[in-house]
Amino acid sequence: MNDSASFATSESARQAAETFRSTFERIRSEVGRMMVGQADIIDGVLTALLAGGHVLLEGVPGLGKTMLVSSLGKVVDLSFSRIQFTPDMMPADVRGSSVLVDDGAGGHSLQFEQGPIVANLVLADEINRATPKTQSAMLEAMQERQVSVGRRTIKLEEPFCVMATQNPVEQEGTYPLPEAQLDRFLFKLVVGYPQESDYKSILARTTGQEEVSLKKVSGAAEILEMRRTARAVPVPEHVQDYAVRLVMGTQPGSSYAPEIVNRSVSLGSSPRGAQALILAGKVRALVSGRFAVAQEDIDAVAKPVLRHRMLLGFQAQSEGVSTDDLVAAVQSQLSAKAGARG
Amino acid sequence: MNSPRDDMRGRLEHLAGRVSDQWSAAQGRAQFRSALGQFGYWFAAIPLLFVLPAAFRRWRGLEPGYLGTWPVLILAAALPMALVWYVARRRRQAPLRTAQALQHADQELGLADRLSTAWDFSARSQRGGFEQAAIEDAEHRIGQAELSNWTIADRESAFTGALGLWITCGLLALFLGWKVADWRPAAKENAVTAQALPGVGKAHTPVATGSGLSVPSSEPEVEVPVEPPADSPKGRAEKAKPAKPGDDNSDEVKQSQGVGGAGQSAAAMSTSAASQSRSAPSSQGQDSEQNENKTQKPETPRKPGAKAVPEPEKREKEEEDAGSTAGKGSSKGSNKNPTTSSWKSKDQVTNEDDQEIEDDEETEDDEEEQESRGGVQPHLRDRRPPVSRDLQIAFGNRPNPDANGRGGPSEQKKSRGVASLVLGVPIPDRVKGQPGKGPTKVTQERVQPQAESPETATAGARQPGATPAPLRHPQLDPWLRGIVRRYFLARRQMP
Repeated sequence: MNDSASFATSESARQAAETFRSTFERIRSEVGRMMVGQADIIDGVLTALLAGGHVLLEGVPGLGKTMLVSSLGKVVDLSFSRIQFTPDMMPADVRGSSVLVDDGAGGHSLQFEQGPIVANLVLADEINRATPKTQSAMLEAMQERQVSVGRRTIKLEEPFCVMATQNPVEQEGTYPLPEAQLDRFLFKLVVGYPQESDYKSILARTTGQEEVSLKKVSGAAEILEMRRTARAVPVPEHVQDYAVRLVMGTQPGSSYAPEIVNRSVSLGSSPRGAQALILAGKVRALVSGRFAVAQEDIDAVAKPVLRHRMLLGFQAQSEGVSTDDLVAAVQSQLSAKAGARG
Repeated sequence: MNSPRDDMRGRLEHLAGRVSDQWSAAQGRAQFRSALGQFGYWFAAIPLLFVLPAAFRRWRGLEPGYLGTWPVLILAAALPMALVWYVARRRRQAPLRTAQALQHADQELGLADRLSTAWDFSARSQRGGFEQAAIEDAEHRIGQAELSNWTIADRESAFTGALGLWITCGLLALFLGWKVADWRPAAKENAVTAQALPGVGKAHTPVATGSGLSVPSSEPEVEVPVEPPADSPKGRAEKAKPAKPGDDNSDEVKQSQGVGGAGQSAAAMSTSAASQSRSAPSSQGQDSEQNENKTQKPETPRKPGAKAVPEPEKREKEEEDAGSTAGKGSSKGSNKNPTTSSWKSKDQVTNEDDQEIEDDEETEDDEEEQESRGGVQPHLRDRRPPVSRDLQIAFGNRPNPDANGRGGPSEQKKSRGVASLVLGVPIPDRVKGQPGKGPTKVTQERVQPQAESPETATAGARQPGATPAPLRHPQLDPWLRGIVRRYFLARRQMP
């Protein structure tokens, strides 16, 4: 669909933006009924879904990562599948394989059985427990939105979103995700512990007799329409410049990189990081009730977008420098330059 | 007739101009404060430039020559301010462009880039629905921005403490300068007191100032001994003694030399006293001769630099003159005294021209001295420092430049044995190995093997360090060890 034709007038744009915002709010509040105390994580997951990206959720066990994704699958009424990654899992277990079936006439034939990757929402639970060979089976699906098995190519139905979880502790027996796969996640969200006030709500909803039943708020068509709306949001020139400089600031040796980045980072973000910044910024602008991306939208999504796209050097790891610190350093340097010159 | 879009751009431009003006003013203030913090030490440095030389001159016993408190104060305030103003003006940047000014306005008003976005979108030839919606959204905010009475906040600067410190230091320096300048009136006051003595009003005498200076009076008719100022050591010494008009001059001389010549022998004291009285470079000698030279022609005023010999230096000079009298009994004694001559330093002279000049001057003296000693004597100044006993063969790939064949291994030894007597025949060093060692002899003996009782090995836990090939633990540098330690600690502490 041509965006310019869809939103030719300001009135249609206003209406689309309002629809987007209201749908977003309804999904958020519905998922929030199940998931307590993680509003930022819900926003991040929804933003990634509407921007057309994938999400990597990182957090210790028991924080509701899996429940969040399954709740979202119920609320948006999308086909949902869950893959529990284990070290002995093979790529065929993800993509699917041909199996022998009884043809009913006493014979047998090979029939292709789709893997769990063929769904709208895929929960890749504990993705770092699978071997790199199995992890790489997700690459084509995540980037090309298709799966190739033998001579067969299966187009994945949109909206397609992979929501992977990983546990930062218990690193023994795990395989860290390769950079190529990390780069395909739009966001890396770090799930933290809930606040003290949220614990009572969690206990009331999970240990009582009352069961929370989620209702469907939207479907695949609405999600696709929201994606189109988000893509139509324009980006001013100076905001685009800021996103580019922010990404270049994570690359050691560039003119926008602060000293701590030059010292700590081995590999900076790719242009895919700038794409992710703009796409996520568009969704956030619409949610904020604006019709164009602002610099504060880019700043708000900078850490989840860039924190997993930087490879730290040995010295940075030994000094305990985190990628969030580096992103903040780049942001402060860019702000200081902008403030000094306007 | 202007379209609504042109009208909106005009309003945005007007707003941007207002923001740019405010930004320029704020930036100018920030630059001024920055330069003020940078050059604040001038407030203290300029007074010190005047005070320190004045204090030094005062310490040397000269006129302080202080410019005065108010001129220094004016200079200390005006010069830094002028420099700061100049630097701040040089650092001022060009005014903001419209887009930049609108970004500032967005930031100050919390408008989330609405104004700058509208400025950007309104310049585009093709606008979609979202661009138009963004422009319309900004139109409502322009009026809000125009009506709001906001200013661009100045950035915080931490120069105040440092500037206050420098100004305090400057004021302290000014106070010191005032005190330095105050010393001069005290000296003048003494001079005036001396002139005000009865019968002294028109005296022509060198006026002893506090610094020991002799200032001739304008009417040289009568000379009267003038009491030195109270704050000088000499003045204090004479104040302690009651004034006796009929005192002998020799008493005064002895009294005055009792201060300067303490510990000297009587002869030395008399010699130095005589030399002092002849040269009369200071107030002491001057005092001793005042009564004798009352009728002499008045002394011409001398330059302060040439006249002002400080007391310690003069004392040293006196001691030196007294002590060197014995050595100077001969006209060449000082140069030929072996205890005082520095033959080592002469031998180590690297400037050949200087050495030749000295040789020319002393050749005749040496010959005379050798004759007086009964024959040709080795010249002490021909002695060389001992040769290097360094056993190092070479410096890298280069031969040892200090190897002269007398110490340590070198390529050629020419000072060993009889061959060393033949001039110009270098003898290589052949002391290598063992000459004439003879053939090697191997002797075989038949021995019956004898049984030995083997030690029984008992199984047990392996003790630390009992491995057949013990692992080596290379000693890492402390910094590398720290990095490795922190790395593994960080890995362990990762959530």
